[in-house]
Amino acid sequence: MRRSRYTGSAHTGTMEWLIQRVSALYLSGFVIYLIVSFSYAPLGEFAAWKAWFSLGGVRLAWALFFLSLLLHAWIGLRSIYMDYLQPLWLRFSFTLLTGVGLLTLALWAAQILLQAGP
Amino acid sequence: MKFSIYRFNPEDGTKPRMQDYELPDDCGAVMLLDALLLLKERDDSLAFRRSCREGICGSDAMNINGRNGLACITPLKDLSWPVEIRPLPGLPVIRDLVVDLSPFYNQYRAVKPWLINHDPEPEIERLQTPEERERLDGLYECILCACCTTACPSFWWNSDRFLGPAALLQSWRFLADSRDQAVGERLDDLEDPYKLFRCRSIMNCTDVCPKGLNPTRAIGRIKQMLIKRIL
Repeated sequence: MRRSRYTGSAHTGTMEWLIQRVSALYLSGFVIYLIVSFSYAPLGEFAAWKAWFSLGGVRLAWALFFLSLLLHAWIGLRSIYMDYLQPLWLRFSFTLLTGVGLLTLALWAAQILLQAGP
Repeated sequence: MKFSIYRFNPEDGTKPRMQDYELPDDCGAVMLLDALLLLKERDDSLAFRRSCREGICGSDAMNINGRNGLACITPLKDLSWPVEIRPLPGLPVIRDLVVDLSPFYNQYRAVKPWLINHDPEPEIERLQTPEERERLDGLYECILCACCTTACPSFWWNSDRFLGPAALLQSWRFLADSRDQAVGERLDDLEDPYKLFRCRSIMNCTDVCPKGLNPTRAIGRIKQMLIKRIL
C-alpha cells in the first residue's frame, strides 16, 4: 500500500491552472475571430496573404496564439501523465519527449514568424 | 431478495469472489443494512462495518449497485435486483466489505482539520456573527464516510498525493472560518499540482454524498481564493 506523502507544496498549481484557462480563452477567441473575419473578407491570393502576414500586429497575434497553444498543450499533457502514468520512468520519458517535441514546434513557429517579416 | 456480495478473506489464500445470498421478501428488512445484518445471522463470516444505523457515523459506506452510499439509509425498495455490494473502490480491502481507510484519514490529517488561532483563549468562547457562522453550513456536517473520496478517479490514481474531496471540503471549512488565523499557511500548502489541482470538477463526490454536501463547490471556492491571492 502506498503511504501518503508529506512533501510540502510545489507552489506551481495555481499558476498552471490560471495559464491553462487564460490560454484557452485566447485560443478560442483568436480562432473565432479568424473564422468570422475570413468569412467576411477572404484573402484570395498569395500576395494578399503575404502582405497580411507581414503586419507586425498580425504576427504578434500569431505569436501569442502559438505560445498559448504550446503552453496549453504542455500543461494539459503533463496533467494527463500525472494522472495515468504511474511508473516514474514512464512519466519522465513521456514528459521529456513532450517537452522536446513542443520546444521544436516553438522554434519552428518562431522561425516562420520571423521569416514572414517585411 | 437476491444479493451478490464481494467476499475476500486474506487468511484463506483464495482470490476475491462474488457470493450470492437470498432473503425471503417478508424478512422485515427496510434498509440495506437490515438485510446485511440478517445475512450475517445466517453467515457469520461476512464482514462489514456498521454502528449507528442512522446515517450519522458513516461506518457502513459501501459500493451498492456501482454507487457509493451508506447501507443504513439506503431503502431496499429503491434498489434494482439482484443488489451487487462491493467494498468502497480505490482502497485496500482488509476483508469482505471492510476497507483500510488509512490513505483517506492520512489526507484528512494533512489539511490540519482543526482551528488554528494564536490569540489567548477567551473566557467562554470565540464569537462569530450569525453571518460568519452561516458560512460553515454545508461544510461541518461531513461524517467522514469516505463515499465521496473513493468515488473520485483522481483519488484512485493519486491517493498518496491528491487530498480528495472530503479532506478538501474540510480544508475549506477552516479557510472559511472567521476564527481561523492560518489562511495563508493553509493556502500555501494547497498550492501544488497534486493536492488540490488534480480535481477536474467531475462532481462524482457531490453526486454520491449521503449528507447532500457539495465538495466540488468547496474546491471551487479554494481555487477562487488562490487565484485572488495571485492577482
